[in-house]
Amino acid sequence: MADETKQLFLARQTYLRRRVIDASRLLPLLGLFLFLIPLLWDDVGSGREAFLAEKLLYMFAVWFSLVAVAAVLAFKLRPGDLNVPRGLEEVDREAETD
Amino acid sequence: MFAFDILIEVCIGYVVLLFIVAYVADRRARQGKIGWLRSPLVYTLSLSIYCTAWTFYGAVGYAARSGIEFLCIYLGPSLVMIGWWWGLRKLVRIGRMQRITSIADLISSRYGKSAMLGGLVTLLAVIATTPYIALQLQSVTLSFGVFAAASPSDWPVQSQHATAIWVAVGLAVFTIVFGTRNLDANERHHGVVMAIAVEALVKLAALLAVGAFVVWGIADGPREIIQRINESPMALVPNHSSRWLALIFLSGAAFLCLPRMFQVLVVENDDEHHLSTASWAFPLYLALVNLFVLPIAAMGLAVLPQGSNPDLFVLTLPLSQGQNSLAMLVFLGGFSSATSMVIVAAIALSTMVSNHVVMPIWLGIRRQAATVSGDVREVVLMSRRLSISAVLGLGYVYYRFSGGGEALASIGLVSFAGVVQVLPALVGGVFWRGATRVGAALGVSVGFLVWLYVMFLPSFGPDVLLSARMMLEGPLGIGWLRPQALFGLHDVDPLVHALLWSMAFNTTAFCIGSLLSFPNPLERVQGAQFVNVFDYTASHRGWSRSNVDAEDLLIMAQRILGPSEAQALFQAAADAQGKQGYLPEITPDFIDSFERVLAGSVGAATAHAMIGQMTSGSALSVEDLMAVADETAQIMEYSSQLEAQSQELSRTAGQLRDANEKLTALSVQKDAFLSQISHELRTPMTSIRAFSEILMLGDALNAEEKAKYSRIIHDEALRLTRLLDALLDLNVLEHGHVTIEQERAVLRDVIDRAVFATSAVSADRVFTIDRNEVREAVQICTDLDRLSQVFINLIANARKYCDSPRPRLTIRVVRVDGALAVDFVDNGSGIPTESQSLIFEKFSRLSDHSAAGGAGLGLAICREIMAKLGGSVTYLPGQGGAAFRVILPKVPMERAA
Repeated sequence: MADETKQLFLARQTYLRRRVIDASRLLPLLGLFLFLIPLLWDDVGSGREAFLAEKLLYMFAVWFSLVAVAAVLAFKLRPGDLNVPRGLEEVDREAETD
Repeated sequence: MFAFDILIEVCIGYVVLLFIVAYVADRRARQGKIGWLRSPLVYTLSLSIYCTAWTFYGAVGYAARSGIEFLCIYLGPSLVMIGWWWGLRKLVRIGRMQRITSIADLISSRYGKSAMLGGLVTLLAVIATTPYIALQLQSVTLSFGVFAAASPSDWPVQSQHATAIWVAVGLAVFTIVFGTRNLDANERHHGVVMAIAVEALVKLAALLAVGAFVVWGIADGPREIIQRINESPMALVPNHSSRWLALIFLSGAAFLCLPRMFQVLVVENDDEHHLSTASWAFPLYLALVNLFVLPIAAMGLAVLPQGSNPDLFVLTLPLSQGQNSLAMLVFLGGFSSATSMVIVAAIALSTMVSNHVVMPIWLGIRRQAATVSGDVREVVLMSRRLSISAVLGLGYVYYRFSGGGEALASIGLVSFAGVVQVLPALVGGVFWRGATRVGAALGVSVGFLVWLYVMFLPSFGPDVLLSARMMLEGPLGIGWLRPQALFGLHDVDPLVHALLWSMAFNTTAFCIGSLLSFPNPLERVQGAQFVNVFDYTASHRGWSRSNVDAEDLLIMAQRILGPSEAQALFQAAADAQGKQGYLPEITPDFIDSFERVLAGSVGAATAHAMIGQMTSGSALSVEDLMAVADETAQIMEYSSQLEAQSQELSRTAGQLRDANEKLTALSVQKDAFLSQISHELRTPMTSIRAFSEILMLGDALNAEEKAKYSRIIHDEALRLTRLLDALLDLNVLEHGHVTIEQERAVLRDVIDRAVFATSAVSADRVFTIDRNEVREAVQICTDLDRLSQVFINLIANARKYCDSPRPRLTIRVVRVDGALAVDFVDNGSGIPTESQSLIFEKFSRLSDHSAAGGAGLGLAICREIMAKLGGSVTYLPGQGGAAFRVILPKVPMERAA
């Protein structure tokens, strides 16, 4: 009975670890997307008042948010996670599709 | 404004401080007290050499000219760091596993330890980095100039170049002292890394201090800054979408490919876990560095007089406000940015130059002698020192040559685009096993040439390296080959144009080259190790047969690693093998690990070449692989042969065992037979001898007695003769050579003859024989004499042994399974069941009826005869007496008489 509980606990951890890795893989893509958004704001020549400072604030807001999320993810990935051989990751992936 | 002397003093004091930091760190590291020297924080700060003087001064200038676009140069690296799980993690692991010393080493090592590729990447790196070093020298000189402008008396203008020289020399000395102190197997420079970490803090502090001063000192806080930014001309610069994307890509790629970045990111990495901290801490550092760039630019544009150099706003803004100490801090920050970049770049380039240019050439010249004589270690260190001096010298020459103007300021991105030409080979090498040396060489060289043509050469402006006419009309007037509008692609930003074409040609050449070429075995082994670095923990076997002496290897190791390190290494290896002393067994594994240690000092290609010379070229070759494959095939064949042989052997052994059992049984039988026969022979012989002796003494014997004894002797002699006849008969029957005469006859006649022949046996008894003459009227075809012999034997036996008071023998002819059989059944007590199987054996007699004259061979002879004739004789139980069935052979016999 104790073994089963432990097993369940481990599986859950493995699952969460995989999600953290997924998140850290997705984060730069999200960042790139957010960093490219200002390109859509055509502020020059539209007659409106320039808002370069607001754009700058937006960029830094995204930047610091990315740093914060990356920091959380980095702390969630414990040292041992770095040494997981790829084969094992694959196994994890297969296991969780069950 | 303070005196220029003070500036010099502060500057020298700062340099001395750096020397002390580096020295202490180096000493602690040598004593093994690494501790906080190698913390994630130090690692992160060491990455800050990405921010050079180009960032420190140039970012504000860039912003003042192009608005918010400057951020892209820092967004690329930030995204690369945040996405460390994609590629950086693998790169760092490969760097540690393969003891990579530089980006050229990584490329060379991945593509079969190719010296050619290493040299190519080194050449590219030197060409792309030299202008960047010149840029740093320029920035330091310029910042000196800012102070000098305030006090012209102290600062003779003509000595500006002298400043650059002094800075270059000072940097060379520092780099040589701390960068080539030891030929470390790990190629890590604790002192240098510590020093640049300190410098990273100084430049960040300086930028933040200026930023805070601008926001809260000059302006009235953030609100005013926002207003000023929106009112500045920067706000009117339109967005270039393609440039944004190109800059983000370029900076991210350059972050991986720049030799100095690779040095701190991969080579100096001490612990993979530091990467996970740096993944967020370094983007944070970059964000902080850039936080106040736009405010400073906006304020500089607003406050400083028209025409001021925006590249120096960071310095001139505090100076204009009389903030001398802040200006001093800024100066040190800029100085730090420039020097840390130059130091690491010089170390990285000198490692590459010495490992991939000098050493291969030196080895080529010295051939065999290289590994046997001369101090390789000194050669390597000296070549590094010379390389550092040469790299800095080149930077200085470039600075003088270019005149240090606007052209130099724009060289940053040109330089980036140059080193990025390594990217396809790098990414392909790490993720694609099909990438080959030919593809990498093609890709890098094609990309390099395109970059030279469309970006580097035109960057100097018309009529400097390329004629204005050529730039305008293309070479030989071919319009679509115009350097800055290749294939008619004008209307595009020059940077995007150059990056697009160089990367397109590069990647295409790389892919096509890889697809069309076939890698050699070492390339394939290395490719597998790089691409599957997380699967491999053990090393491959790169060396096959080795006929090298351990002592020679130790001598070489001492020359490269130094005596104590080499001895420790060999002793550890010997220990691991369970051997005493310094000399381990030279196994392929040992050579492999030894090569890796050497690679940490002189690069993979050089280490491979050196070991190759030592082991007289016993490296893995196609021939070796084929030989191994052949051997394997032979061994497999041989083992299958062995298997077949062993099966045959076991079969033979089984047969032998059977034969042995038979022989043993036969031997037992023979012994029994001999003892039987001697007994049988002795009995009559004894009586013959006894009676003949009596006769010899015979005077006292009367005639009657004489006749009686003579008859006994005669009888016994007859018995012996019969016995011997029977034995001979049996012997002949048993051992072949019996001629069977096929004759036709009627069965009844044969039986008649047998009955008649036996009428003399126990003639005293009344013996009735029942026959059915009709049934006996069957024609048979066989050896009649032999058959009648069997019948005689059976009838005689019945006459002799039938113990009934009124003995009667019934002879019946029956058909059994289509064959003719003759049963001989008497009315005696028969033969006990347990004896039925014995009666056909030789000398088997159920009771002592020897007087009857039988030797116990009769039935045995019958069985043999019938077997020879093709029939059989068996005992027929359950007939109320002794019963024998003679089955006649099935030969044609159906024509009854």
